Amino acid sequence: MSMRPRPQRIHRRRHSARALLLSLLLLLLAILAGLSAGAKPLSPASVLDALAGRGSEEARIIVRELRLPRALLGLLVGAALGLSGAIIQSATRNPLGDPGLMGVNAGASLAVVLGAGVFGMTGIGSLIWLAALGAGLAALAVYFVAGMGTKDASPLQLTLAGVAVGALCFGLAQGFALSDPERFDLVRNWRVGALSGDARVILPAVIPALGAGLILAAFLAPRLNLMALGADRAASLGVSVARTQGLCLLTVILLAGGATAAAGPIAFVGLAAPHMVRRLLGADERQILANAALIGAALLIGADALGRSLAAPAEVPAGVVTALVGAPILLVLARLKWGRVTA
Amino acid sequence: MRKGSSRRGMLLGLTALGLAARASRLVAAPSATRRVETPLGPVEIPAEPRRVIAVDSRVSLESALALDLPIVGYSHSRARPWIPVPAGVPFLAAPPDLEQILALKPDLILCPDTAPYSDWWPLARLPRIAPVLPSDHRLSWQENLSQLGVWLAREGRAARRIAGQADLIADIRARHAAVIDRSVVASLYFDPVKRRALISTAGTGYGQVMPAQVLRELGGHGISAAHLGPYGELALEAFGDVLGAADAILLFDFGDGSPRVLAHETLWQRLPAVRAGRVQIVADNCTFGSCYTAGYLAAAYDGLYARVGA
Repeated sequence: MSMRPRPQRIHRRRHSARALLLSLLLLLLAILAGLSAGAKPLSPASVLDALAGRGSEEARIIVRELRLPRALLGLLVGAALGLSGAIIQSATRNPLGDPGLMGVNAGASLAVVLGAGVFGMTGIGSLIWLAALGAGLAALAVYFVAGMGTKDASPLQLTLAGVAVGALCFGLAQGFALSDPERFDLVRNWRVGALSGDARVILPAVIPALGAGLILAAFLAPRLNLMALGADRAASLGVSVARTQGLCLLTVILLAGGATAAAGPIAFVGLAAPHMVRRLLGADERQILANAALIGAALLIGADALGRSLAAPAEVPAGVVTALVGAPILLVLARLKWGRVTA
Repeated sequence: MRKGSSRRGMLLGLTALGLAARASRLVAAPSATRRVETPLGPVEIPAEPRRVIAVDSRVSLESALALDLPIVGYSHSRARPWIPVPAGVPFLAAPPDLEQILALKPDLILCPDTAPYSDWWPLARLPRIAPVLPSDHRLSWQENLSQLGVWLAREGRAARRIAGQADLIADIRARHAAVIDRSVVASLYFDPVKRRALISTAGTGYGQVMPAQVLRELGGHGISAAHLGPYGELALEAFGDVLGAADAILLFDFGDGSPRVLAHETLWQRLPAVRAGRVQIVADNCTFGSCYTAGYLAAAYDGLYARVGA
């Protein structure tokens, strides 16, 4: 560490600071777009007036009661998805790591469908808790299925277990939903990821889980740098591999489970945000985690703003926009990476 | 070998299904039939149907009941409280299960033409089970009921139902003519999860929605579809621009607590119609239907116009 030449360290710190500033700037731009765009477009000046308590009463209500809580929800959900994706990718050394791949989305969907269909729980508050519980149980199932018979699960085992548990949950959810479509119609809307829910109800319910996940992620970041070297090397450097993996799993459950509970299943943010950041920043997990959170939030808020503008006065759910926009981005990133590897 | 045997199995299965369908048609075959021309082509229907399936609980079921057809089952969704379904008529699987329908040995099936290859309205596959009479989603409920009445030689029953509704409409109009002529009425459902309204008006992708049809019968004025999404969607933040012009609002309650959720929204509270107390809450989903839903909606509009005139 101390052998590194001083100018190189300074250059690296400057690079990290610039990257963080760029991510913050992107997030601020996305928030401004989120506050301006919608069925009733407002200029940035009107948005600032409304935030300051000036301008028309209608604009003040739209910005302060509807769009600001929605942007805050997008900020937390997007950051949680970006962070959880980055942690999964690092901990499992799997570049395709994504909360969805840990069965989180499918587990949450199954829990919501079961809760609504079997126990008649259809209130927004109860759906959130059900989704968080389902996401957590599915991630735990993936972890234990992948680790059965081995000391620690390989990335391939985790991926296969994730696909299997996800498919099982998805199939069960579909089966229950088809058995009584009328009843399950009440939760149909929830099964498409969106930020349209009432943030004033949702945020108080999910902030404890997301907050705990954020704190754990900050605690884990330095250890993930060592874990990236491989389990054996990390252990030789004094890292408790099993405990770190357990903490990673808990963090992902809190972050991705909370995010899915708050907004429904949202694709690609957890996969694309860490990839974008990794290309810019290299391998320092502390930088990757911080920037993946900011970029994840910016992606989701931007996708939500785009969805509200494209189909105004209706809206395209943010989960659909992230899939539509995220897929080409991911393909470009994969193509660039593949080109670099084969060059 | 396995591929060959599975192919043989499939062929046998299809043959058995065909034979079963034929057998069921033979078992239930009435003594006399009549040939009618439908949009699906010529169809041989029983002169006096004995076992009728209504594939959709809205337009098909209501039309069948209006024409006094003997129903043996219906699908899509459970009949709403104002539909006089005889006791013992079962609600079938939804989306419809063709094997279940086949087992009921129908001699006539009523099905909307909404999406002939869909699971919900499988118009293209039903003729293999029994003769099918379609309803046309582009026509009004009166036109569909009249057409069905003609096909089934029950024109008198159809005409009486339509005349009954016309009398009801004339009575409401006589009491509220001035209010009806000067008021703009919005009919909407608020989706508490997506936090947006779905406006039932003419000109959206849903086609002939019942609230718009009954409002037109009354000679009333609704919200223009020009400022709405393709299926009548309206974001909460655009409420002032669109619903601000409404003098009164018919608010549908699908049983999900949406009126209670909506009552907490500031942009809803600010609407002139809401501030004036001119909101009539209507239980259940009335988007599609026929004569019974038309009567139910007419009563709801009656109550709403009474509020406006008060």
